[in-house]
Amino acid sequence: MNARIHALLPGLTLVILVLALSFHFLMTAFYLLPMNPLKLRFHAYAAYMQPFFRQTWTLFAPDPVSDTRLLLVACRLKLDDGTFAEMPYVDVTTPFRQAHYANRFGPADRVERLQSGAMRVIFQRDTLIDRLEEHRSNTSSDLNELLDYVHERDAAARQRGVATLNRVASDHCDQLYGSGRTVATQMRMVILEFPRFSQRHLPDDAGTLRHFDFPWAPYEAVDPLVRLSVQR
Amino acid sequence: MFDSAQYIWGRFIHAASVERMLIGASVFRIVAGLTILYQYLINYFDRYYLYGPNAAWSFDAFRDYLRESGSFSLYAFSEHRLYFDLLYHLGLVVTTFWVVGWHTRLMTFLTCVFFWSLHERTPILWDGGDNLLQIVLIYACFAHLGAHLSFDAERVRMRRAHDNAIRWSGAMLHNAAMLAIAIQLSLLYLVSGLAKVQGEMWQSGTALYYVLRTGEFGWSGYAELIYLNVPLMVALTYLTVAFQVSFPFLFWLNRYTRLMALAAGCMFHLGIAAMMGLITFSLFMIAVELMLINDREYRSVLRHMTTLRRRLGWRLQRRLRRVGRSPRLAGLRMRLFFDGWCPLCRSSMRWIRHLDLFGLIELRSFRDPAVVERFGLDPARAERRIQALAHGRLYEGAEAGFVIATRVPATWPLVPLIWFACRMGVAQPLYDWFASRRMIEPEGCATGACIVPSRTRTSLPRSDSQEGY
Repeated sequence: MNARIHALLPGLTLVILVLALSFHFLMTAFYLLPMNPLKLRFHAYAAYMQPFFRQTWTLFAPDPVSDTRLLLVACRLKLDDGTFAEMPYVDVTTPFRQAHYANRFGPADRVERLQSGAMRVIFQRDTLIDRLEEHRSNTSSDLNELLDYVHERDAAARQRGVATLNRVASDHCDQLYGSGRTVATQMRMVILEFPRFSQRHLPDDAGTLRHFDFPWAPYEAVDPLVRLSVQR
Repeated sequence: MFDSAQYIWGRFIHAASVERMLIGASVFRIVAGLTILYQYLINYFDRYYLYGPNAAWSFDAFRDYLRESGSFSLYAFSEHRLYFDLLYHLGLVVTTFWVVGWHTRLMTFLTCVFFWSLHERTPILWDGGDNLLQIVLIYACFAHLGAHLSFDAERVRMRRAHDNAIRWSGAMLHNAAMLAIAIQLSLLYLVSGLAKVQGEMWQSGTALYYVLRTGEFGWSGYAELIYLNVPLMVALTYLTVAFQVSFPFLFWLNRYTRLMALAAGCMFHLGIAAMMGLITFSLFMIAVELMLINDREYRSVLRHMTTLRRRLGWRLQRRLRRVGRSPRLAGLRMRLFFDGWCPLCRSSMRWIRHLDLFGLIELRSFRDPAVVERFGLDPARAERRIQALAHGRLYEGAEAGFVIATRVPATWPLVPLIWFACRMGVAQPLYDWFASRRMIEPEGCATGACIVPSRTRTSLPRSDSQEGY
C-alpha cells in the first residue's frame, strides 16, 4: 500500500499543481482585466485575490502624472500671553525631495512618500466610477450597491489621507516652533503644472500654479522625525 | 497506445521533478533580502514616525485599513512601543537569516510574514516593486531558495541525493513556484504595457518628459539631459512600451529571447533606479528577473567571469599573496583547525579560503589524526569549538572568529562588532549555541545517511574555556 502511494504521489502532485496554477492564474488574469460586464456580475474573483494577491500594474499608465504636488503647512501657535498667532505657510515637501536628489540611497525618499502617498489617496479618482454613475438607476440594483460601496470606501480612504497629512503637518509645526506650542494646522496642497512639452525649455515658474486649502485642523501629537528633522 | 501514453506521462513527471533555476532562486533570496534589510535600516531612526504605534499613518487608520481590506499585520496586535520594537527587530533578524540562508524554508515564510506586516502597517509608502515582492514571497514559500550561497546549501545537496517520491513532489512544488513567478512577472509587464498603449502621452512619445520633470520622480540637474534631448526621450518612451508589451512573448519564445528580455529588464530598472530614484522598486524587480535565469546560464556566466577574473586578477592576487608571505606579516599568519566532518564548517572554510586574499590562513581539519598529533590538539576541545593558532597562542570559538576576521579584508568592517561582542561575553555563548547544533557527517557518509547533530553525539565535559587568552 505504502509503495503504491509512493508510486502515485509524483503524478498526483503534478496534477494538483497544474490544476491549482491554472485556477490561480485564471483568477489573476480575470482580476487584471479592465472592468467589464462579466466582472460586474461575478465578484468571487475579488474575494479570492484580496488581500494576498491584490495587484495594480498600471504603473504610470494610461498617462503619467504631469504635475508637481507640494504640501505647505501653516501653524497656529498659542503664545505665552495666551493669544494665538498664525504663522506663514512653509513648504514641507521640497526639503525631502532635495535630500533625495542629493542622495539617491538616503532615507528622505520614504519620508517624502508619506506625503505624496497621502495626497494620492485624497485626490485619486476612478473615471470608470464616474462613467458607471451615469447608469445609476432609481430603484435598488447591484450597480447602485456597488457604487455606494465604492463611494463609502473612497470617502474613508480620503479621510485617512487627510488625517495623515494633518499629522505630518503637526510634526512639522513641532519641529519649527517647538513641541506643544501648536494648537492647529492648516495644509495647502500646491499643484504646479510645469510647461508642457512644446514649451519644455521654459523654467517651471512659467507653468501654472493652483492650490487647494484644507480647513484648519486640531493639532495631533505624533512620534517625531528624528534623523530627518527640520532645522529650526 | 496505452504504453505510449504511460511513457509520455512518465517522461513528463520526470521532467517536472528536476528542480529548475535553483541558483536564480538563491540569487533572488540574497538581492531581495538585502533590499528588504535596506528598507528596514534606511529609516531605522525614523521608524516610529513611519511605522510606530503613534506614526503619521495613525494606528486607527491602520486598523480601519486592515478591516476594510481583510488583510492582517502582526503590528496590529498591540499599540505598545515595546511590542513594535520587538517585531521590527525580529523582522530584521529573520531577514538577515534569510539572506544568509539559515533554515531557508522557515525563514522564507517568516520573512514573507514580517515583510507583509510592515507593508500593511503604512500602506501608502510602497510601490509596484513592493507589491510584486509581496506576491512573489508567497510563491517563494514553496520554492527552494537555499540550494546555493547559503548555510543550508550542503544539507540541501545531501537531501537531494535521496531519489524518492517525496523529493520528486518537493521538486515539483519548487518548479511550480518558479513557474508561477514567471507567469506573474509576464502578466505584470503585459498589463503595464497595454495600459500605457492607451495613454495619449505614451502614444505621442512625450510621457518620459512629464515623468522626469515632476518633482517626485525627477532628478534635478540630471533629468534635463534626457528630457531636453528629444530623439533620446522619444526613443526611450517608445522603447519602454515596446519592451513591456513584448516581454511575455520574448520570455516564453526561446532561451535567447528570454535572456534578452531579462537583460533588458535589468537595464531598464537600473535606469529607473538612477533617473527616477525608485531604488527599492528597481532592486525588487531586478531580484525577480535574476531569479528566472536558469542554472546552466548562471554557470556559463560564472565560467566566463572566472576566466576573465583569472586573466585580470592573477597578478593582483600574486602580489597580495607575496605581501602575505613577507617577513613583516609573518606574525599575522595563522593555522585554523576546523571540523572536517561538519558540512557547515567545510562550506565556511571554502569561503574563508576564497576571501583570504593575503594567504595568511592555513586550514586544517582536526579530524585528521596526523593534524592532532602534529599540533598537539585536544580533539574534545576542537570538537566543541574551532581552534586557531596565532602568535603562538591557541584561540577558541568566537575568539578564533575574531582572529580570522582581522586577517580577511572582506570581514574587516565586522572586526569592531566581533571584538565588542567578545568583550561583552555575548559572542562565545552565541558561538557555542550554534556550534552545538551543527550537523556532523563522519567520513564515508556521502549519502547523508549518518548525519547527526553534534549535541547528540558528543558528551564531552565543558571546557575550561577562556584559558590562555
